[in-house]
Amino acid sequence: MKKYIVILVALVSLSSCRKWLEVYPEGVQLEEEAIKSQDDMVKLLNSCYDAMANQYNGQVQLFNELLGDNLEKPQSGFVVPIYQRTTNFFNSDVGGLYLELYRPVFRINFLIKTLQDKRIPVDAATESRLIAEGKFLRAMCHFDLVRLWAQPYGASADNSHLGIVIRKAPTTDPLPRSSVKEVYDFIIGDLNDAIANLPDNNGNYADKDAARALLAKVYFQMNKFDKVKELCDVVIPNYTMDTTLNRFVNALTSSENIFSFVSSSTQDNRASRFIGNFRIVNPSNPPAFRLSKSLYTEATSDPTDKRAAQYAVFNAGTSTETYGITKFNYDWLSVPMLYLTQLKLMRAEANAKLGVDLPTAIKDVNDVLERAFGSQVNNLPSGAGATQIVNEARKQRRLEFPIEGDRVQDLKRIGALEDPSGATFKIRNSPWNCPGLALQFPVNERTSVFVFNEEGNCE
Amino acid sequence: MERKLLILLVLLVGFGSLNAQSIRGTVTDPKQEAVIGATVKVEGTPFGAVTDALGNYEIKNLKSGNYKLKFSSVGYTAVVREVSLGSTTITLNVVMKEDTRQMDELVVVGYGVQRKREITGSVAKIGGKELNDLPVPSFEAAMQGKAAGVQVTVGSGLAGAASIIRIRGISSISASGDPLYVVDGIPITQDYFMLGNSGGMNNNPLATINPDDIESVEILKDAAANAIYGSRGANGVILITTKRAQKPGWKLSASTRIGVSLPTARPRMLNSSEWLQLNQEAWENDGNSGRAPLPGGMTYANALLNNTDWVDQTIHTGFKHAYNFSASKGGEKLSSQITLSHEDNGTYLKGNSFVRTTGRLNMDYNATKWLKIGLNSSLSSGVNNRVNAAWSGGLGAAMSTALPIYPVYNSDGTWFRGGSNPVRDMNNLKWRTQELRSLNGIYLTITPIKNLVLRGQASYDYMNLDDDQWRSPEITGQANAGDAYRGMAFNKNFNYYATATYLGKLNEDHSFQVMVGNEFQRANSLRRRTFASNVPDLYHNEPTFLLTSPVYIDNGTNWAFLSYFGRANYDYKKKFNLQAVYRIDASSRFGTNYRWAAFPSLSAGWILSEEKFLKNNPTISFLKIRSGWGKSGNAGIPDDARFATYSAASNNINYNGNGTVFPNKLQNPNLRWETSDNIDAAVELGIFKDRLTFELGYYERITKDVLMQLTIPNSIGFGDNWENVGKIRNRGVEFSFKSRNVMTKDFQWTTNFNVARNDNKILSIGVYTEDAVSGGTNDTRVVVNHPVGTNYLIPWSHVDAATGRPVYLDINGNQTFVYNNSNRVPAGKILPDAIGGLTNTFRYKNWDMSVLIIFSIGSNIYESSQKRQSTLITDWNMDERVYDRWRTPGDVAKYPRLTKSYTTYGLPDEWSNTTLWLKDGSYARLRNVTLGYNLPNAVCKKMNITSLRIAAIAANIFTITKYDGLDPELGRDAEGGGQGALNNARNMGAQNITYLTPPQEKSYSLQVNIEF
Repeated sequence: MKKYIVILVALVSLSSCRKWLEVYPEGVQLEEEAIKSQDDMVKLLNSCYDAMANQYNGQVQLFNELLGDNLEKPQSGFVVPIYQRTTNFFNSDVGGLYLELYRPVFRINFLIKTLQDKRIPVDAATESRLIAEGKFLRAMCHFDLVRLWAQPYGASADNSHLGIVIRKAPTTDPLPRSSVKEVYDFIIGDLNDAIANLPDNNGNYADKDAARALLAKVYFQMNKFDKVKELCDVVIPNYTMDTTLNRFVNALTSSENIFSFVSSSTQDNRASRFIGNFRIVNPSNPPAFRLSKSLYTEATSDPTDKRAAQYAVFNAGTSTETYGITKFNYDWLSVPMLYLTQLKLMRAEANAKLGVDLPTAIKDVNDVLERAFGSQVNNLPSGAGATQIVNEARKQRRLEFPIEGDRVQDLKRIGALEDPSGATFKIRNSPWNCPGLALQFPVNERTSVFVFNEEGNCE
Repeated sequence: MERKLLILLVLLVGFGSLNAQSIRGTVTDPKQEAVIGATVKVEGTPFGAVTDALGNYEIKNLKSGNYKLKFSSVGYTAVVREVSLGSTTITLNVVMKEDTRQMDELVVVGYGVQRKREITGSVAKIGGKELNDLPVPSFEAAMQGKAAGVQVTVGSGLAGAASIIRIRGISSISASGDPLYVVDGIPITQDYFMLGNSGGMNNNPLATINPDDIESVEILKDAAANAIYGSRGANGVILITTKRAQKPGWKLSASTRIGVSLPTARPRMLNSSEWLQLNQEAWENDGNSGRAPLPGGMTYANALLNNTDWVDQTIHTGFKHAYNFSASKGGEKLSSQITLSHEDNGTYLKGNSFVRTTGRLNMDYNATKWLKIGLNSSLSSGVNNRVNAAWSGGLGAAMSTALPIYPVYNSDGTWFRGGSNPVRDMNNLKWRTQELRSLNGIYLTITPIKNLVLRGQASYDYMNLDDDQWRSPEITGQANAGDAYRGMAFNKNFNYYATATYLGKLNEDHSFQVMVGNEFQRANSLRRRTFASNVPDLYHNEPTFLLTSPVYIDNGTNWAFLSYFGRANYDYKKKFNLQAVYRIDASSRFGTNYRWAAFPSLSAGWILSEEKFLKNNPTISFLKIRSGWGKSGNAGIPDDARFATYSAASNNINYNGNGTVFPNKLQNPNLRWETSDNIDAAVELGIFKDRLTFELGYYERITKDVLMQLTIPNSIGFGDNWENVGKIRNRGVEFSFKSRNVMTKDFQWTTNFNVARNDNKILSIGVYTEDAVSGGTNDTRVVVNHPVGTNYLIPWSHVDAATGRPVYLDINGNQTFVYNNSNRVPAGKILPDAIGGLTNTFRYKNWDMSVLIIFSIGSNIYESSQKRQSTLITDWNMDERVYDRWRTPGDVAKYPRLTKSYTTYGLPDEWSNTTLWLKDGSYARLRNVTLGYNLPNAVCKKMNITSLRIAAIAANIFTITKYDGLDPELGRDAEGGGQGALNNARNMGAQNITYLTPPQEKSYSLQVNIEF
C-alpha cells in the first residue's frame, strides 16, 4: 500500500500547470496595468508635453543657435562639431536630441492607435481632443527635426531633397527618409487636423490658436506668405502686446502667450538648459555658452533700445572679450513657444512680400519697436516701402528672439528665397545650404534603407 | 543434527518439485553503485536475467541443485559464482569490478548516466581530481586545456575572477553566451551581473562552488548530448556531479595547501624624470616654449622630489592557504559524505582576496528494496575582499592616472590629493562582497516493477549577495564618520524534475531504454540597496546602522521554465546504438504566441570493432563512428525583454500639475527562442588494447533567430529593442588523443592532447548594419561574414616620417591624416582559430609529475588602454613602449609624435580606436607543473593511514607570445546598462580586450593530501 501512495505522489508531481509560466518581471509596470482607462490616456498625452518640455528647455534652441551666427564657438564637447558644422554619426549630443524628439512621436502614435482600436473606452470629445493635441505635438517634433536634420524647404525647386523619417504609426520597422515636401505636407496635415478639433481654450495645453500659430510658422519657413497672412489675421486679434521685454519671465500670464511649456518651481524647471547654459552667475565670469560678437554688436548698437540692457560683456577690451545675455538669470522659467510678437513680425514680412495691407505690416513692426524704445522715435514711417518693412521685420526678429533658436532658420529661409543656388547668401561664412548645416543622423539610424547626410563641407 | 538435516532434505525435495525457489540479489560496482543491465546467465541452462536500474536481478523457476552463475556487463570484468540452490530462495549479491578500459567509463548525460561507448553525442568528461589539483580563482578555470573545443579564458588576476567559457565557439549575441551549469541536476543561478561592472569586475556566480566537492564535470557539446537540456543548451551544458560515499566503511581525507601569488607580467611604467621629459617633448612638439605645465598646478621642484612607483604601491606577494576535510561512510542502507573546506585565496593585488568556506552533505538511503531516497546539500560563503582594478583604480590607476610625480603622502604626512592616488583610495575604501549560497536537492527513486525506475528530485538554490562598501571622510569630503553602502541581492531558484525510465530487452540482441520526464524551474531575485552617511565602518561590522538606513527597492527578476522530455535509446548487440531525444520547453520570457519550442535530436553510434571483421583485430581494439542532428535553444534574456514597461513620472515631476505615464521600452510580443541546428560526426579509435585512443569530430551549428538587443533607428522613438535577428554559424573540428606511452611497474607516462578549430561567422543581421550591436565600449561590432566579436577599427597605416603624424587608411585604402569613423573596417577578431591543451603525466615509483601546456592561436587582442600609454600626453603615465616614437623629421617610428592635443592626430576627441592597438593574441602557456610524492604503502600502513601525498604546484609559469602587453589570456569586465548590453559586452567585447585589466596570477603552492 505504501508503495502505491509513494508512486501516486510521484505521478502527481509529474502533472504540472501552465499557469506556472504566468510570472512577470519584478518591479516594473507593464502595459496592461499602466494603460487601462481614459485617465491613463490623458496621462500618456501629458507625458508627451512633459518629454517635449524637457527638450525645448533650451536644447532644441541651442542646437539651432550653434549652427547660426548668434553664438561663439563653445569650449569643448560634442557641441563643438555642431558649431563647426562637422557633426558625424557618433555625436551623442546630436543623436540624443534626435531620439528625444522622436520619443513623444511614438507615444502619440501609440495613443492614436489605441484610441482608434477602441481598446480603451474614452468619451468622444476627449478622444477627439487627445488626437488633436497629439497631432499638434507630433507636427512640432517633425517640424524641428526636419529643420535641424535636413536642408531647408526651398533648397531644391520641388523640395524632393531628403527630409527625415515620418513616423505616423507606432511601428518598429526601419523606414527611409521622406522628401522635405512630404514631411512638410505631413506637418501641415497634422496641424489642419489639430485646428479642426482642438478646443478654443485648453488651459496650458495646445488649443486652436496654438495650432494656427504653429502652422503660420511652418508656412513662414516655407515662404508661403499668403498662408502666413491668412492664419495670422485669425490669431492676432485674440491677443494684445505685452510691455515686458523678456517673455520668459511671464510666459504663462503674458497677454501674448499662445503656447508655452510650463514650469512650476526650481524642481520643475523646463528652462533648465537655457539657464544652465546662459545664466550669468558671477558678473565677472562668462557662462558656459557665449554670444557672438555679431549678435552683441547688433543688439547693443543703439543704447536707447531697452533690449540692449539685456546683454553683458566679459573681459571687455581684452583678447578674450566675450558676451552674455541676462534673460535667463532666473532659478526657473516657463518657456514661451508661440506668442504674439512672433506672429506680428511674420505677418509684417508676409504682407510686405505679398505687397498687401502695408499699413498693417507697418503697425505690426512699430508695435515691437515702440515697446523696445519706449517711444515712437524709431518707428517705421507710415509710408515705408515693402523692402524697408521686410528688412526691419527681419532685424527685429533677431533682436526679439535671441537664443530662442529662430535665427539660423530665418537665415536658411531667406537664403532659399533670395539666393536659391547658394552662391552669395551666407550663414556665418558658409553658404546657407552647405551640407554641414544639416546635422548628421545618429549611427543607430544606419540600415539598408536609410541615406545619411553629407558631412561637413561648410567653411 | 541428523534430524535437522533430514527435515531440510524433506523440505528441499518437497519444495524442489514446486520450483518456487529462486536466486536473487544485487549487482553493484565497488562504489556500491548499481550495475544496470548486467547479464546474469545460469551456465548450461537457458535461464538468466538482466539487472534492473537498481542492479537487482532474480532468476526464477530453477530446480534445486548446483549452478554456475556468470555475471557480465560491458565495462566490467565478468564474475562467475557457484551456488547450491536448495528449497528456499537464496540471495547472491555480487560486486563487479570495472574493466579499466577507457571506452567503458560511465558518463553523466543529464537525467541519467551512460557508458562512454554507448554515447552517440559529444561529451567530454573531466574528473574531479583534475580540477582540484590546481589553485584557481574559481573551479571552472581548472577545466582549461582539458577538453577539446572548450575554451576557458580566465578573466584576470583578481580574486574570484570569472572565466569566459566558450564551447565550440559562441552562437549568441545579446542572450547569455555562457554554457548552462547544472549541479547534481540543479540548473543553478548563474548571473554574472548581480553587481553590474563595479570596480572593473563582474561578479562570478561560480566562485562559491568548492572544487573539492566535485566528483566529475561532464561537458555536453553537441545537440545529441545536450538536446536533453534543449531549451538552454545552445552554448553547451556543463554538468557537475558532487562526490558521494563510495566504499563501504569509513573514509576520511584531509588536504591543505599554501601558496604565493605573483603577477604573470609587470607593467613597465615610466619614472618621474622620464615622464617629465615626455611631457616637455609634447609641449614643445605642439609649438610651445618654456616649461610645460604640470597637472594639478604642480611645480617642477615638487614634481622632481617625487618618484613614486605606483605598481609597487598596489601589488605585493599574495598569500594563499586552503584546507579541505571530507568524511564518507558507505553502508548497505545508508551512505553519507561530508566535506568541509576553507580557502583564503590572496592575490598579488594588495588587499584583494577571496575567502571561501563551504560545507556539503550528500546522503543516500535505501529505505526498501524499491525505494531509495537521498539528499545533496551544500552551504557556502564566499567573501570577496574587493579592490578597485582596471579602469576603476588600484593597479589600473598605477598603469594610468597615477603619475610618478605624485607622492603618496604630502610632506606633512597627509594624503596627497592633487591627483590620482590609488593608495589613498585603497586605504579609505573598505569593500567586502559576501555571497552566501545553499544548493539543496532531495531525490527519491522508486522501482515499482521490474525494469521501471521512477525518479523525482526537488531542489532549491538560494543565493544572497551583500555588497558592502564604506568610504572614509577622506574620500567623501564630509565631516562625519564615513559613508556606508550595501547592495543586496536575494536569488531563489526552485526546480524539480521527475523521470520514469524503463529498461527493456526484446531478446539477447535488442535492448532499449526509454525515459520520459518533466521539469519545472522557477526563479526569483530581489534587489535592494541601502546607504547612509555618518556610519563608522562597513554595515557588516556595524549591523545596527542597517536598521535605521532607508532601503531602496530595485528591479528584480522573475522567471519560469516548464519542460517535458523523453529519451529513447536502442542498443543492438552492444555495437549499434540509436538515440532519440525530444524536449519541449516553455519559458515565461516569451509571449504565448512563441512560448513553446521543441528541441528534437537524433543520433547513432556504430562500434565497428564489435563486428566480425574487426573483432579480433590485433591492432584496433575499439572503433566507433557516431553522428547526430539536433536542435538546441537559448532563452537567456532579461525577463522584461518582450514587454513594454511603463513609468509613472520622471523624477516624480508631473507636467503642468497633472500626472504622466509613459512607456520606457518597446514591446515585442513575437520575441521567440533563439534556436540552433546542430550536426555532429565523430570517429573514436582505440588501438593496442586502447593504449592509444583518438577522437576526431566535426560539427556545424547554425543558430537562427539570434536574440539581439539592437540599437534601432532612433526615429522609432526608442534607442533599442529586443528582436530575433540574423544567423550565426559555428563549425569546426576537434581532435584529441590519449596515449599511455610507457606502462611499466615503476614508470608510467601518459599523454593527453586536444586541439579544436572553430570557425565562427555571422551569416546575417537582417536589415541592420555593423553598429546595431556593439560589444560595450570595446569597438567590436556585428559584421556579416565575420565572427562574433569582430574588431571594427580604423586602419592605421604608419607614422608620417616628415611630420610624425599618424597616417590612417580611408575606406578605399588611401592614406589620410583624417580620422573618420566612416572608415572603420572589420580588422580582427576576439575568437581564436584554434585552442588546445597538452598534458603529460609521469609516474616513477612513488613520484608523479604532470605538466599542462595550453595554447590559443589566431585571435587578436585589442589593447584599448595603450592609446594613452604610448601616444598623446594626457594625465596618464606611459609605459616603456612609448620609446619607439617619432621625434625628429625622418624618424621611422611605431608611435607618432607626442602631443597634448588630439587634433594633432586628426582626431575628433581623445578616444581613438585604430588597428595600431590590435595585436596578435596567440600564445602558448605552461599552465601547470605539479610534482608529487606518495608515501609508500608500507610506511602508510605503519602510520595507520591509507595514503599521504605531498605536491608542489606551479601555475602560469611562463608564456610564449608575440603580444607586447601584459598577459595574452584576458577577459575584461563587461560594461553596459542593463542585462542585454552586459551580455553584448561579455559575448563580444570582454574576451581578448584589455583596458588596464590586471594580468593573471602566477602561483607556487605546496599541497599535502592524507587519507585514512
